[in-house]
Amino acid sequence: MNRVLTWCLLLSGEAALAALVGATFWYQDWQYSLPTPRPAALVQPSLGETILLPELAHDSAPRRPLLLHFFNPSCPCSRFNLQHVRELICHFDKRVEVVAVLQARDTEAALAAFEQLNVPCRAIADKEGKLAQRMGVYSTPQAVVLDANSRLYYRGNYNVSRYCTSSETEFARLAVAACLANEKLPSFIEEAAIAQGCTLPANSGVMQEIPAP
Amino acid sequence: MNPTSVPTEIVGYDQTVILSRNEIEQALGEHRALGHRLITQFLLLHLIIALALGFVYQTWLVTLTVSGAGLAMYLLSAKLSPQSFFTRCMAGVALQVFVALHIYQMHGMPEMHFFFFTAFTVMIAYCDWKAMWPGALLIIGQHILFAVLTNSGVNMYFFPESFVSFTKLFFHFGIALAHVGVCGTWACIRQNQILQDARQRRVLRRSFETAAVAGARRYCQLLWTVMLN
Repeated sequence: MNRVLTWCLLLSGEAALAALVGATFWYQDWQYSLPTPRPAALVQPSLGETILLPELAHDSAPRRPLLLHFFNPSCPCSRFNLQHVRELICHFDKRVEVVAVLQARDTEAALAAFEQLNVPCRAIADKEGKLAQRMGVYSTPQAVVLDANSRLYYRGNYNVSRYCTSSETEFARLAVAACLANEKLPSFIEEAAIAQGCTLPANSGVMQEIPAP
Repeated sequence: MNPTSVPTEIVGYDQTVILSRNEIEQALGEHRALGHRLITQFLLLHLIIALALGFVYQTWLVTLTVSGAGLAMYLLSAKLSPQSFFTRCMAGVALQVFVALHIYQMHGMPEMHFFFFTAFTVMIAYCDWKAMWPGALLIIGQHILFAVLTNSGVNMYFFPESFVSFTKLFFHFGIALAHVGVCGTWACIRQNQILQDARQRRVLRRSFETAAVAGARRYCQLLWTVMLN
């Protein structure tokens, strides 16, 4: 009887632990597949709207399109596509100005952490999230493309895949390429504009919309 | 005679020695106890590696839960049924849970798959080839499931590619199964050597017993002769 009880206890314990392992993997994946909750008071500038960015202090003349990479070093999602961002910077080289916009609770540490990641672009701190607010960005990682006349050309995800492995949905790359060619923004699928990733630290205490299932 | 060599008559006798279940368990017991110690140390090492890898992508939820559960899977079984085959199988499963965790923590980094090989090499310590297969089949099943999910468009952490081809999986599993086969063969050879040693020890013990009885009998006969005279 004692032996039977021991085996029952052992098998049920092992089954519970195996279920815990499976559930954790599933939960982790499910969590990152959800869209980022939108702040209830979010106001997003529409595409084509001119947005002046005096804090960026453009030094290049003639003006180039600008790719803003919204990044938070403590956000796992921000790290998923780092390699893709590096490739984008190398691919477009001098034709596009790339600036990483860092928002973190400790901006000094964030800038230092970003420097260690060897992403070949300038980084600025957006401590209070003012720049993100003006752009209508509420998540990281997000790409914002402004054309040479500072008009909002694209705002959204880099890719539907968190590692940016889906070549058909390289939204940011396609948007920059179209912007450089002075073409109309390609019509992307709906997922391009539904931000996926981490909530910005500045929005963490803000009332949020319930994400659509 | 060389003191380390076994007399021919004993080797000849050894061919017919059949060990009882208890004798087999006793002979393998000390090796399996060593295996338990080694696996426990190895799992603790995996726990440290998991905690270190948790920093890379801040995967703390999955790191702490899965590594805790993986370790508990083995320790629970080792506590409640230390000598059972089930515990040895759970050691293999727990090691593979850590392999899957490390791959997941590093978002499918190919080098993380190498932990599969270290895990199965350490399983040789148990000298039980059968105990290797539940863990091997589990990790293969998990890889197939994650590959199917990746190919059906689910954003998985596991493979860096957006499509996992049949060729990749074929070589992946082929090499992995070959490694399990080699480790299993080596564990089987070790097990046979241990049992052979146990048989020879038993033969030697019986020979000593027989010699002692014969000596005592001869002494009694001598004593009896002396007394009669």
